[in-house]
Amino acid sequence: MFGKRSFHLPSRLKSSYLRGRIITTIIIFFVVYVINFIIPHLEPGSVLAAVGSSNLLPAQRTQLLQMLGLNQSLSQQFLEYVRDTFLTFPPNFGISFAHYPIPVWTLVSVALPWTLLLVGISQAISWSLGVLLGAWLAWHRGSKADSAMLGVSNFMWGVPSYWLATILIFVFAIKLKVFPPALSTSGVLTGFTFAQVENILFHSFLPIFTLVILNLPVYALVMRNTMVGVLQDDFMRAAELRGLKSRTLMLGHAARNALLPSITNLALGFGAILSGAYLVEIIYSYPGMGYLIEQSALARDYPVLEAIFFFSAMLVLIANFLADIAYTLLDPRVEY
Amino acid sequence: MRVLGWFSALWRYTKIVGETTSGKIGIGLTAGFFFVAIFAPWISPYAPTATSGLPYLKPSLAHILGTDDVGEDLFSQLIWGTRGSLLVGVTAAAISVFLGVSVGLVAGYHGGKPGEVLMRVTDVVLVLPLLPLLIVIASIVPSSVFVVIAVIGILSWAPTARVIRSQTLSLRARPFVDASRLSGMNDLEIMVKVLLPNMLPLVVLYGAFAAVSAVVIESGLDFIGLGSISNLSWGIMLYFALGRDALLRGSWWWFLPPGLMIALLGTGFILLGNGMERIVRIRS
Amino acid sequence: MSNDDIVDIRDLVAEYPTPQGNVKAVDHVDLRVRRGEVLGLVGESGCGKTTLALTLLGMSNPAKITGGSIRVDSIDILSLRKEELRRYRWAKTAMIFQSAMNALDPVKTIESQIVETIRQHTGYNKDSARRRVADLLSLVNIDPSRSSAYPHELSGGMKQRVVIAMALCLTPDLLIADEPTTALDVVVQAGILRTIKRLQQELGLTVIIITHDISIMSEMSNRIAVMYAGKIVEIGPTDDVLSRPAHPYTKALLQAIPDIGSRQKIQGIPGSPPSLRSPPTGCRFHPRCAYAFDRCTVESPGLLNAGATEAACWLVEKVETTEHA
Repeated sequence: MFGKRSFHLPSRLKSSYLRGRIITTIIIFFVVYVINFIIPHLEPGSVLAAVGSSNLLPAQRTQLLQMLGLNQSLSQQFLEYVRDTFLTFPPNFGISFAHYPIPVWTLVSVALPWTLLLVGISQAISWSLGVLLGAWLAWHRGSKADSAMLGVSNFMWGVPSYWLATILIFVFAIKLKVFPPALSTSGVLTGFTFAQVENILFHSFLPIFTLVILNLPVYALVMRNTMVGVLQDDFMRAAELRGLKSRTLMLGHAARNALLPSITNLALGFGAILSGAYLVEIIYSYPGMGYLIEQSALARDYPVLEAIFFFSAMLVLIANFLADIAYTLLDPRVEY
Repeated sequence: MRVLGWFSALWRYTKIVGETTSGKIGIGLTAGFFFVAIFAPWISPYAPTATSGLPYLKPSLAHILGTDDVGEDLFSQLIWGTRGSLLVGVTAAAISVFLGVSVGLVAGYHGGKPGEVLMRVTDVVLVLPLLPLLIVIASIVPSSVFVVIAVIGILSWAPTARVIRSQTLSLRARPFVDASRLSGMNDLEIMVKVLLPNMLPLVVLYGAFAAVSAVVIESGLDFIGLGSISNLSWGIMLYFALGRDALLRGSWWWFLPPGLMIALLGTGFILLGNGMERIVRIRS
Repeated sequence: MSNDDIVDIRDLVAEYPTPQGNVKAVDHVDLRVRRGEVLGLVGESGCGKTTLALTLLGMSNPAKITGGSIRVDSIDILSLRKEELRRYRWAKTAMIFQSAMNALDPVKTIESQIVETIRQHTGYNKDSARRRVADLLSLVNIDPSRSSAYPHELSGGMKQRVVIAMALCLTPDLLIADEPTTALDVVVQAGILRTIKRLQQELGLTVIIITHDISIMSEMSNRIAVMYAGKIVEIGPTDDVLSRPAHPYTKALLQAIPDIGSRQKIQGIPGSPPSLRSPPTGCRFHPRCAYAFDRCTVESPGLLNAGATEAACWLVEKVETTEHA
């Protein structure tokens, strides 16, 4: 599928399209960064309410305000925000309310890798298999397999991720007792041994499986539809008239061209994929960002919630940016 | 009068959509759900919050889906839940589509600096992960369906805006637009009376997507426990199902149907939307 | 089939399905092309000329071949199995497409596409294939160093030359040029046509040029075949067809060409091409023909000897009978 000439490394990365995307990404990052700062200030009343300040004496209230930094001017607070989050390491996103005095960063930095593991593996599998399946379906469109898959894909669109997770737990963990229903490991994670990795993968199997079932059909559907369009293009008929083999036509030309919109789609849908992953984590008590967000939401742990929102947005931003890079590398028509 | 024209156009489109099997299924499902939602009081065997039996009953003739932990009939809840879910889906989708189309039309038609600015704003909104943001907002503001609907609507118009904008850009150059301008129409009239009707199938398609994701997101919010309990929806049912140990008890008749309904409603909308997309493809 | 004919088409019928019934894009066509000649295939859009050309490559999309026979260099195209057909394509018969946009994959370099074609048919390794590509590009007057370019980086004329180079990469015997210059502007057109002519002479190719513009034929072709509504209505040596056309349609086509030198009025052809779903009875052209008479509405004529050319027109017989009367 990828001949030697299909990639053109460093020179393409200098393209103006990519530069434009970098600038956009930075702007968006900045906007999200500022939004993240603003949110807690929209309802200061409720922030205080969470700490039960209605029962506090005025002196205590002042002390609390000072501790939370809410008694300074807005611009002072913003400067402090930038200093805390950008200029210190580890970044200071505040202190968790519910798990006082553990810093927010500690909680988030532990949860983040788990989420990355879950999302990374599940999307890698779903996307690559989905794209191949989509290519095959487009080539054999109209067949029973094609119609069946179309039905499945359309159905999967509306399936809530946590519901699917529940059903899978019910079937595999409770009824069949094949896989464990919860957590990411049994016992405490002590080292990075092979046994530990095996343990993690065994526990992660169901969550990953859930996400793959959920996302693969959608990837396949988008790829299939795009490729059906590509197959109608004149150059495909010209390629067939040149006496090229079927495999070459399907993969080397049609799929290769149809791949580009599939990449953009992955990027656009990443926010939804992430949200779905969070909900799956909750069901499986899988200790990632989703699990953390649920716990924090119920406990009204605002600093943690805001940090999770921030990092979630960052993940989406990074995913989009990586997709932009991939697109630049794969599509020679992107302007120099 | 113009609105009547739109309705007759939609009727025509619906008939075309109904030509394919998948289109028929889409129309059937969607119409079915609307029917159930509207006629819930007459279809439902019991009131959803009335204790009509013993708790945790298995499905039987009296209670088709059994009862929940306080003895309320689950089947009735499922029927009434249609209202809650459909309300969220349709309203949020309407807001989202309205905003998306407005932004898209203006950005595409006027172009230039204001267009660029609008598209930058769209890019930002596009990136925001909806569920985490909703969770943050929902934990600050006391739970209310309207807030949820509003937030979903206000944050999910970006994909629609993008598509409408590129459509507007390509239609703008067509001669019939110039003709309209020469005949004295002002910009707003051209956008609404001339360009928009041409994009109606696309609008419905993206409306369908918006509706599906709104229902799914709202149910996710309910499931976490941040939804409004007063608005009975399938998401709320799932919240209670999992919270009251339906999973541990193996009461699959409790947690299976609500999610299935969400999926089927989504399928109905999507198939409807696909049918509309077929119209767009056939036309071009 | 005589040894001189490289193409022998008999009674060919190609139809494609529409919701309202089958449409005969090619309706009982006989055609023989001699080795080494240049045949011009002329007609309006939709007359079936491209479909006819595609049948020479065994292409049944969108029109299926439902009758008759096609032989190219003694090979019965219709009896070829899938893999045989794949190997036949491009090696024996190749095609130049109307626009390079239609012919080239936009995400691959031009070199890789020609190399791929060569390697899927022969045992060439990458290096020898690349060298062949360089030779081919020189042949069409393109600097071989541009082989790593992408289609969108080349001008229209250059792209078309690449398409020609691609068509010749397996040294075919038969070359079909489908509207090779329609998408180009006039200056570039002349260059492309000259290139095709030169290559035909240098390589001894048989060429079928398809076009709706009969005026380019005077320089290019030995014979001209005129198609209308799925049938060949006139065929003969170029000079004869252009100076003494026997069929009213051919005459009308010639009169529709603007000629800067002459003061002759340009005549359009009244009416429009017939719907192939329900073609007119008898001679397809009769509704638009100035000379139609009663026999024309009833019987459809085959190709009749009209002296220098052959024409499918009852007028030919009428003249003969009056002459012999």
